[in-house]
Parts: sequence; C-alpha cells; structure tokens
Amino acid sequence: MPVVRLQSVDGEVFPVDVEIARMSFAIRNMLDDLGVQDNDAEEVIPLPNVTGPILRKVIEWCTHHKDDPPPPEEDDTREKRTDDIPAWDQEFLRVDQAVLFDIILAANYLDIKGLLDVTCKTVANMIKGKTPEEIRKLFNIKNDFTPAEEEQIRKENEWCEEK
Amino acid sequence: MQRSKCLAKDLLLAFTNMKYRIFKALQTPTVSKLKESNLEDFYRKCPYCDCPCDGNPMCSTCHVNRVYAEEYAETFGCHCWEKGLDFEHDCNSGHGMISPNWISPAEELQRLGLKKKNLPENIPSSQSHLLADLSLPPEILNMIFNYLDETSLVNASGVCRRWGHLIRTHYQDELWRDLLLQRWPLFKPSQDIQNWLSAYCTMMDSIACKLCFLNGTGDAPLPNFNGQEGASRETRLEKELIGLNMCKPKGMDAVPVDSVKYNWIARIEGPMKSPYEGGVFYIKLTFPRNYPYQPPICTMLTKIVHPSISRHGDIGLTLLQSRFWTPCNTVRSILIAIYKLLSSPQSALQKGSVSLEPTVSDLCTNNYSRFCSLAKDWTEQFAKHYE
Repeated sequence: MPVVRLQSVDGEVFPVDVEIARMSFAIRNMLDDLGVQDNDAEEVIPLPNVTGPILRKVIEWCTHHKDDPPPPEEDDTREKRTDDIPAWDQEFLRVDQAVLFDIILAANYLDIKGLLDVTCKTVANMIKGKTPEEIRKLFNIKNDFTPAEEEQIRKENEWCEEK
Repeated sequence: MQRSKCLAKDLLLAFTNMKYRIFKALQTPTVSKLKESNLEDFYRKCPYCDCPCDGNPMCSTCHVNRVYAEEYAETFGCHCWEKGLDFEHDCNSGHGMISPNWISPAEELQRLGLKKKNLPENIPSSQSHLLADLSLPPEILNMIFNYLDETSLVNASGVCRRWGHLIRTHYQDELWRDLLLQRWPLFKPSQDIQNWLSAYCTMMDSIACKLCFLNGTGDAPLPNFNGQEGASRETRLEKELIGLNMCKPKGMDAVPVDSVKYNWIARIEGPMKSPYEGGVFYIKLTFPRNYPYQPPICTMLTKIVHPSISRHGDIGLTLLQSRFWTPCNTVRSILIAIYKLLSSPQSALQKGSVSLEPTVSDLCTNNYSRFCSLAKDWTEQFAKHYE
C-alpha cells in the first residue's frame, strides 16, 4: 500500500496509507494538484494547522472509518438526527472539550465530512436540553448581555426554561 | 451512604417503571402495541431532562405525572400535586432541569461502574483555556446549531451576544414563521406579526404540556401501524375531514398534521358569555390504530382553568373514555362536546363529564365569580395571542 507522509505543525511526521489520507478532501486535492505519484514516498505534506496529538486522533478515526460508504450529499433540511452516533465514535470522542474543538477544527481544515458531522453532533448533544446558564458554564462562555437585554431574552425564552 | 441512597432511588424508579408498565399493559393493550415502533424511543427521551418518561405524558411545567406523583414526591421532594392547585405553578423543587442534587440514571450508571472506562483521554490541546465561543469559527457553530431542536436553539440564542447574533441572522424570521405555522396549522393572526421568533415563544408559552405538544406536531415521528390498522380507519377519517371542511361548526376547526392522520390539531374559539370568551384554544387529537372502535386521545394544549380539564390538558369527558365511547362519535361531535364543556364550566359536576381538578371544581361550585375571574385571567394571558 502506497504511503504519504503528513507533518504536523510541531514537526511530527506520520506515514499514512494513501487511501486513508485521501479521506481528507484537502489532502486529496493537494495530492491531485501536485500530481504526487504513489511511489514518491519521500514527499512530506505539511499541515500547518494541526498539532501532532490531534493529527494522531484524526488518523485513528480515518483508519477506523476507511471502509465507510461516502457520506450522503448535503441536504438542506434543518432537522437532523443526533442520536445516531456509532458507539465507537462516542467512545472515540470522549475527550477533553478543548481536544474535541481541536478535532472539529482539524476536520474542518482537512475537510473530512464524516468526522466533522459526528463531532458537531456531539457538541449539539452537549447543548441540547440545557438552559443558557448551563451552556455558558459548560463551555466557559462569558455572559456579555446587558441586564436589560438579558431581561428581554429571559421574557422571550421563558417557555423553554421552565422548571 | 450517598451511594446506597442513590441505589435505592434507582431501584425505586425502576420499580415504578415496572409497576406502571404492568398497569398500562392491563389497561390498554392497544396503546402499548401502537408504541412498538420508533415512537416509543422518541417518547422515552424527555427533552427537558434525562428522566425516565416511559411513554407517559408528563407535564413539563411541574414535570410530574399522576402515575408517578407519590414516587416523585418521595424521591425528589416535590409535593406539587398534593398541594392542590397552585395557579402560579410555583413548583420550587426544581426537579425539572436544574436540580443540583438530582442525578440522572445515566450519571448514576457512570458512578456505579462505567466510570473508569469513561475517563477522558489526556491529550494536550493547543487551546485548553480559550473560551469555547471564541475557539470555533461561525461556520462551524452554525453547523452545530443545525443539529439543535427548536427549544435548544432558543436557549442557545440566549447564551451570549455572538451566539444570539449568529442564530438570529442564520435562522431568519421566516424560519420561525414556518415553524410556528407547522406547529399551529390553524393559527390565524388578526394582526401583522413583526417578530416571529417572539410570536413563536409566546405561543409556546401558552402550551400546558410542551412534551405532548412537541411529540404530536411538527415533524414528530409517526407510529408504524404495520398494516394492522382497522380497515375502516382511513376511510372514516377521510370522510370526517371532508365533512368537516364542507360545513364547519361555528368557531371550530380541525386538521390532521401528518400523512396517516395520527395527530390532529383542533382550534376552538371560547364560547360567548363564558369566561373563555375571546380566547382561542388548541386541542390535540390522537387517533389510535383501531379508530373508530377506540376513542381518540384528546389533550387541551392551551393552558386553561376548567374543572374538567387537568393542568396537563387531559379532558374529562366521559364520551372520550373507552368504556363509554361509541363509534358513532366523530371529530365534529367531540369538538361540540368540548365546546359545550367550555360554555358551561359548572356542568363539570353533571353527567357527561368528570372533574379532574378538584380544587377548581370546589372553587367553581362555592365561589363562581372568583372562578370566573381566574378563568378570564388565564384566557387573557394564554389564549388571546395575536388572534
């Protein structure tokens, strides 16, 4: 199996099967544009936005999902299920919140739709059913509304905060 | 100590569930069959907390259902059912969403055994102390918001300015208008609506049991009848709908909200000279598999003070009870019966209806004028929005 070398921002080099690396549309385009041949084993692709530990996680995910059918084309319906995350992915994404966000950013940068979908669903599940205050606490977000604005929002949103 | 207490709590809940299931199985075998499909899973998930809902409708306001009342009182220290009717719904035990002491069954499982397995991996992150809302770019936040249901979306818009702005610009007013009209197909505003998000929130606020409402409207999952529905169900409902559209009883209307006519939404205008005059009341009708041999389940959606309508919205009409139901009743006759119920609240104590809120019945018999002013207040507050 031909291999490409991916280099993280901190200089770590990961040899990866081409088929697995091509799950990332960014890398696929790069390989196609550069016309990298399968036997150019010495070619190193630098990924300036991804750190080593995160890249390792991303490669782990891609390796596990390498035989998945390609994700369906984007449809514009708003309602989507979030309770269909496979057990392996749930376990895989049981990580520190900041790491989860790093994986999302990496999936976005590398353009890996499947991973991006599943991570966004995970965050959506964390938000679901929580009050604004609980969400703020969960993600360490500062409440920057003025008291007047907050009163207005509280009034509007009363129905979904009922005890 | 703490642990054994939690275990006891879990056991109690499990026992309650079991007891309820047996009770339900004995009572209505058809209903439990109906829910064999994905509907069951849907009902199990309570959007307000991680509690065991068990398919039993539950009041999201005080979050207790009658079957569980005793057990909840003991487990969570909530006595709101015992206290009689508290018109402000000031249930302070907070068992709904944010009780600091309440442990969900999932958490409990985690505490008991799975803890080790679930420890997060220790991976150094490039941004461990950055604020979450700053670390994700807007296109990704929007992707996440796409997965949220309406309630969570409204809550998320109140988190901070940035989220609020993103949600309000990404989900424009048209979306909220569509959502409102999808949930209230019979909504007829008499005035121009400037802010649909705010209208949506106001309408939602007037719903007594949001769980029942959200599960029965919009794109809630449908039951899978597996071809076992009664032969006459479809024809009969089709006929009733045509009949209803040809000649609507004054001030009443009803439409099915899904393709198998499982859930219907009805709209009744408050009868003249009753305390409900001027208000508009929404009712959900759920037609079982073997309708017309079984009555539909009718729930008053709009908050109302009435001796025969429970705070959860159950309607105490004897004709809707399986024992007294006859297949010659129709959507029209049900609507007319409910209209009559509204036009004379005192009749709650007479034949044809039962009292579901004893405190309100007492008030209605002993101090009718006080009852009227309360009922009018509620009509003003919850049934007169935009219509």
